[in-house]
Amino acid sequence: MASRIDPATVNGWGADLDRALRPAVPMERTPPRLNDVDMAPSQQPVEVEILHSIERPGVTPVFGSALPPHGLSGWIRRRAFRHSENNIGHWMLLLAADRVDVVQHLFRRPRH
Amino acid sequence: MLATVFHRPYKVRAEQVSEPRIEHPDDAIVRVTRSCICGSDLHLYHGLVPDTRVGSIFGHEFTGIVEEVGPNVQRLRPGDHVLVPFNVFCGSCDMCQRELYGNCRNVNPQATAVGGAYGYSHTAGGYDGGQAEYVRVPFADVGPTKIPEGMHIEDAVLLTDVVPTGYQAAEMGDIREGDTVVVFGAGPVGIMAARCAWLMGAGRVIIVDHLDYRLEFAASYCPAETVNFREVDDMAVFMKRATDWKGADVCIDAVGCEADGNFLQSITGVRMKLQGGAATALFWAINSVRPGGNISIVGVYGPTFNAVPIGSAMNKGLTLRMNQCSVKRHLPRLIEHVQAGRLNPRGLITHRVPMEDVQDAYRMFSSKHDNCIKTVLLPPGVRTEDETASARIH
Repeated sequence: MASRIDPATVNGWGADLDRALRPAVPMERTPPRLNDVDMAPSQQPVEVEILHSIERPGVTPVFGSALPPHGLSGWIRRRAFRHSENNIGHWMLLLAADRVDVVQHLFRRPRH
Repeated sequence: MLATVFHRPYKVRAEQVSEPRIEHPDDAIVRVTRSCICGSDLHLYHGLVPDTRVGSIFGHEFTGIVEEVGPNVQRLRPGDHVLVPFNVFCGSCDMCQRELYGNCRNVNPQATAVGGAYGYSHTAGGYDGGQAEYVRVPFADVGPTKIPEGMHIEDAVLLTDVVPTGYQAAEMGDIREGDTVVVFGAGPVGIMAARCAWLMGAGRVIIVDHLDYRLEFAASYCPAETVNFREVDDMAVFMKRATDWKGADVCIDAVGCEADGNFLQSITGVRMKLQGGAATALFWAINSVRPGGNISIVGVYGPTFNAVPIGSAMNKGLTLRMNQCSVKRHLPRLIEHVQAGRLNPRGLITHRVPMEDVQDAYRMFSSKHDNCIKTVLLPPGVRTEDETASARIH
């Protein structure tokens, strides 16, 4: 291991020694200093199938709409989402669906 | 538009796909000016992240120019040049109200354990990523930050993830003056965490990896004492010897699920996926820290479970802190550090690659060839001499 480094020679040493300067101290700070947004977001239109965790009541207000489930991989994903995130089977089924998805796209462009 | 499209593990391609559109009144469409490949993108690339669908567009580190805004967007205007935190977040839920923007409840239907992130599979909300010409940016008034006048664009793009994550890694270690800090992992985040440990008053910073070129870089950039774990028989014994038999005050895991260094962890975690990745670095961190010490985890792991010595962590009275970085809350302070010259983000960049060559860029980054540390992707038509945010990008 190289020899010790003298902290006094390090550019910026101690600039945030004072915890008051560290942005995430404390980790939970309310109300937020930035982005104090009052209104809950409106619901994004659900125009494609969106699978959601059963650990929440439904689809979130905003979501990514790319690549809805389809084919055999989609069938496996739907079964995966019958299980909670607490269940390892949920994640293993999703990994299996990912592999099936690769086979489904061997002769097909994945998106247009 | 051109975009980095996932085909299968170890294969991405730059392809023409349709452009994004406004889907929610709070959205903006951003034309990308720079994007990066992150170490955590390699977990997607290697097929380790569940629900990575074929056709996904990768990329969560990007800057861009606002092209179009939804009807509710008030603060951003077309033409604004912004850096976009990798978190997708709403600003209004109870998590965002606590400044935990990486844990937003309103943006990820697929997993409550994960917040929203650009280009990081449907497990992170299914958003198309920024390794593309255009990106849909939800909650445009909340996430994106206008790039300060005169800031180098490459500094700006590293403020979307690498710099704040490295900083938060050090911050979660609750570093006190004179502390000995050991960082596992000399990738961009680990190097930045080691750099930031000095800002918080560390007395000694040690960085561990197995790639000599990265250790040499870290020795100069951070600076840091370096350890190649291939030359060490037992990491815990080595660290005890190096710290007068006490152990480190703070250990930072900046490696995550694809750690090298332990055969059993690698076989069970990476090859067989019986664990959510190989937890070697975290294992070493727990055993190398002193009793009562702090462990900070920013390395990404799978959502299942991992074999770590939790019994030792309990007996030693350790504090473990971990989270995805809440980028936006860190930006004001980090912009100050960059402008004051205390942080040099673009000093981490080793490769600048046209997006058309993204397939080769991923291979190089994955294989650690050509002394690769950090790669920036250039969208079609973008020149590297367009340095500052105020430069006209066409």
